[in-house]
Amino acid sequence: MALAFLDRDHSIAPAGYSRWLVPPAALAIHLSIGQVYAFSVFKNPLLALHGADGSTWNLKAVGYIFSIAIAFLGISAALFGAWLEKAGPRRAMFYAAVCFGFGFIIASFGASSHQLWLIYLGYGIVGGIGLGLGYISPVSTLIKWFPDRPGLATGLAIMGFGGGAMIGGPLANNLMAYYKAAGQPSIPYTMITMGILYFIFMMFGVFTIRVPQDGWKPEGWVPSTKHSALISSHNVSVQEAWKTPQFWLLWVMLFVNVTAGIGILEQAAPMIQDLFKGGVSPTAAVGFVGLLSIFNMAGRFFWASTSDFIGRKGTYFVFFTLGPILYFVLPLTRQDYLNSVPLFVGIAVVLLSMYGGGFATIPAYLKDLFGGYNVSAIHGRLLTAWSAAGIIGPLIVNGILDHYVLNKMPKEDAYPLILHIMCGLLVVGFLANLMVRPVAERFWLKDKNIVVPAGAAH
Amino acid sequence: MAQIDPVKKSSPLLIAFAWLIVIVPTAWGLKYTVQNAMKLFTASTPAVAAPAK
Repeated sequence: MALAFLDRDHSIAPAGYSRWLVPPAALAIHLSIGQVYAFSVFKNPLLALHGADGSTWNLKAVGYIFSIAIAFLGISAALFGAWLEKAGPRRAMFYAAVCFGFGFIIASFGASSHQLWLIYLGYGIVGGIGLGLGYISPVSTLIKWFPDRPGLATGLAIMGFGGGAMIGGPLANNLMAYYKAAGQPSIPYTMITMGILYFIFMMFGVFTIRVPQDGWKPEGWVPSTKHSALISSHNVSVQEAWKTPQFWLLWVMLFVNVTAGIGILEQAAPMIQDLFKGGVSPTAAVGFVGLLSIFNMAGRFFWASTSDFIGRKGTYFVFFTLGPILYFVLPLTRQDYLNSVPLFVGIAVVLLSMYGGGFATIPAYLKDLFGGYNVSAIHGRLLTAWSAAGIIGPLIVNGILDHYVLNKMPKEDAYPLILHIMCGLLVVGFLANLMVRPVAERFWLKDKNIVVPAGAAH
Repeated sequence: MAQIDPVKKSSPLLIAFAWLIVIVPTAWGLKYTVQNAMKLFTASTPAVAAPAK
């Protein structure tokens, strides 16, 4: 069979293969697909393009490109998760690279011929499928290589998704400037170059990733017999997992955590300028957004690795107790109350670290509850919470802001309402986390013929 | 005497190289982001007169 080298059987690690080669493979994928968070750098250049008839695109229409990509991330992660468990991470990563790279190429034709539907199809749909496949592909493999530190391992990879924007933003800006200076069509050429570069970079991940042999364990590691009752020694299949209350409780937790984070991210630059009128320049506001990106990325690694010590429930307990307090206090730092920019910035970066931490800790939480057997597929289905939050979060934020602007009320008065709604949502997350109990025995995988330990099912 | 099959371990150089491949672009991107973030601390402060040449 063509492309047989992508099969799971061809990617089983030989004896002596270092597990420390696996996180760079996963990072290569996540650092690439994380570019989606930097798509906004294309917005103004796309708005400035003119069709043959002189027509231009509006902001709303261009904004749909990102929304379609994120929607297809969730859809493809949910649809292909079960397939990925059978096909293995290498094949999934390969298809992710093809979709993500080819998506850029299709979008470049859309930009050069001024046809927005081609950009929707390329970057949004085809690229979005690449995002979903790439996002979930290394998760269960990492968990199997690092049974002693699953939070650290998945945190490392998902940190890459946060870091992807840091690479994608300046890369696109530099390429566009280069092609513009060379007198070439800057957006199409930039998209083609990025498609090729990301494809090559993701291929490094494809060829480096290995799955451990069945029964593999880290040298000298003995699974602890004393652990939280939430850490299951049984496995639950994806078909059963989403019938459990635990799946839906985690879905709610991810949904509220992401929605709350969007409350800040969606309007970060205008928010800090509106709350401190004249105190924060537009340039400083850009700096604030940069600082949020750093903490969003760092939080993914910090909180996920901390969860290996304090437990996943404990980590989310911190998010959902500290989070509501900070969301409540955040608007009180504004000019007409405490008037403290450093306090506002300090609170916002902690909140954004917990936003990233929520993404990075959830795979290990799933592994604790449902075992490692189908964790990628279950994770894929859980990511629909992200897609839902990506729609609901901006609706809340922009809906309230529009209402204030339309009724000629001071815009800065809208932020306390928005942030206090986010505070309330996190309280719902707190209750959901509190209700998480071990998965009932009736959902456990009972087929004795299925080999379940460390290396099974990719 | 029984022969022990030697296990070929991954070279530390190979591991370091793999990490370098992902660290270098991340550090490049981080540099840009930190430069941007620094504007928060420098842009709001009053402009300092340029030193005489």
